[in-house]
Amino acid sequence: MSQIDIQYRKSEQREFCLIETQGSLETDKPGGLRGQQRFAAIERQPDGKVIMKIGVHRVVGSVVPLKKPLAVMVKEGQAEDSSSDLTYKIQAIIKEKFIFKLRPVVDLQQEILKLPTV
Amino acid sequence: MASAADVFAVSASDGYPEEYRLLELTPELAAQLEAQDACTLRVLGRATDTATLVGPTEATFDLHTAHTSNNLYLLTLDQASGASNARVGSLTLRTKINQTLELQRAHAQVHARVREVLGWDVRGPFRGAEFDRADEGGRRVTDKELRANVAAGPRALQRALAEVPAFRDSQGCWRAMDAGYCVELLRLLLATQAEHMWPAGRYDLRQLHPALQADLGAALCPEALGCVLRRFGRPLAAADHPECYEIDRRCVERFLAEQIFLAEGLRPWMAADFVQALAATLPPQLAVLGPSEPDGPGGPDPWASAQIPGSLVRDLAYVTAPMEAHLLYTESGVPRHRTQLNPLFRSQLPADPRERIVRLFAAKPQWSTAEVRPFLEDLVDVDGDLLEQGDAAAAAQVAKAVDMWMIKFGRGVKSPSGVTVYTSRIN
Repeated sequence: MSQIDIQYRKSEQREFCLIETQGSLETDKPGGLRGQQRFAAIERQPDGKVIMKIGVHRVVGSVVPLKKPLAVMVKEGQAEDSSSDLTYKIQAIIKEKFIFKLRPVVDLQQEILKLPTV
Repeated sequence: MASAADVFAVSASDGYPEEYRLLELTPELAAQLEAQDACTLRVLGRATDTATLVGPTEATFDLHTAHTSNNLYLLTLDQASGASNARVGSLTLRTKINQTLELQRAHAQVHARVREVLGWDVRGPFRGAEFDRADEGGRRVTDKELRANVAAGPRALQRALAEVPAFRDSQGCWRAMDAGYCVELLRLLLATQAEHMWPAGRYDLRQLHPALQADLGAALCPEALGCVLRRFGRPLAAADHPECYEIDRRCVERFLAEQIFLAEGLRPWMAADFVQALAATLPPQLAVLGPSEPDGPGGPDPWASAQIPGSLVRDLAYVTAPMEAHLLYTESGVPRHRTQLNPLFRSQLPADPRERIVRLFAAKPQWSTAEVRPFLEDLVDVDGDLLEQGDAAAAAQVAKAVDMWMIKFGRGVKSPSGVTVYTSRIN
């Protein structure tokens, strides 16, 4: 019988954020999103709204508590002194997510300001 | 003045997308994890099984993969400064995920699985040291093998081993005990206790072992003796030694009842005949401990049809009345000499509620809630020990779950006596 251990250590917990979107984050840069620096900004407002801005696009979402918390696991391989075949470590237990259900809008004001006047 | 917002700049990691998995936890499981500094969950499974997760309190769950049509992005908070209501920091995008691992509460049939694994021992069930050959080779079931092949926590495993019953032999290997030998050893034990006039409510292994050794010599296996006491007894609370037990008569009767049904090929019994067979099989030292039936004509007949769901065969057999089916759901029910017991062991029924109810309705087309409850209560997420002790909250939780299942899978009709009787609505 295979055995996988999932270890939880309170001292090793990190803070994670979970975002749910209906679309996907894409870029036409070679290499995709990997290594892209400061390509977006997320603003979490006190009223539970969340705004994500990517370039001139802005999408509004909300903070939603998860009915069932999610454990974020990362594979650790097999420990030498363990009887298990594989070990995962829980790095965080997430209890809420940012969900974006609406289409992104173009921030026109900013766009207009960039246009040369005729 | 309104609070300010938290603002984070988002970057993607150099290793995007990284390898992460998301595991859905129940709120209780999450709370159990967070209450401890360190904890390990175990996932066990064979190629032919659903993977099973064993939690810190030994609750077991089946693991399933659930795909989402939406995209889930995992980000880590790498730095943040400012007040708790106005943080400024950076988030790093780690990975995109489209599936999560879901948990579904499972009721692992540990007992059946333990029996199956113990059956790998080539010697078969233990019937006495004289039947074992000293030079016999072949497969044995070690502790490690047992734990590796039974998806259950240590406590559930220990309970199942005691119930089989099974013991660890002198070589540290687990061995199931033959049911007939188990009863034989129990009789010997009871007779020895009576012969030495030791107190009937206190069975001390330290006394019994040398006394039996004198009679049986090398044929006595001390581990088997302890196994019998653990199977049929409870540790004596007031004892000064952990190896003192009191015999639980009901436990013995249930074991004998099961053996009677099995010996006769699981054929139906009239309740009156079954009671006689049970009385004939019960060791005389236990029969004198007290009557199994109430004195006098005032009390209800404990073997009338209405009493069977509360009797010692409540999860071993269901009731029919071949000649008086119309009286089954009346207040007094059918007397024992016209009540038929039909063997149906709960331990052999499916673990899924719907499948089990299908099986129950296949055996009998009509069930009252009282009749069906013993066959479903092990599927309810309550502490079995509390339920056995008569805890009101546990009983209420079981009643609620059973009612819900019967409403979902059955059609209820009220009988003239007010008892709701269900037929199947599953096609």
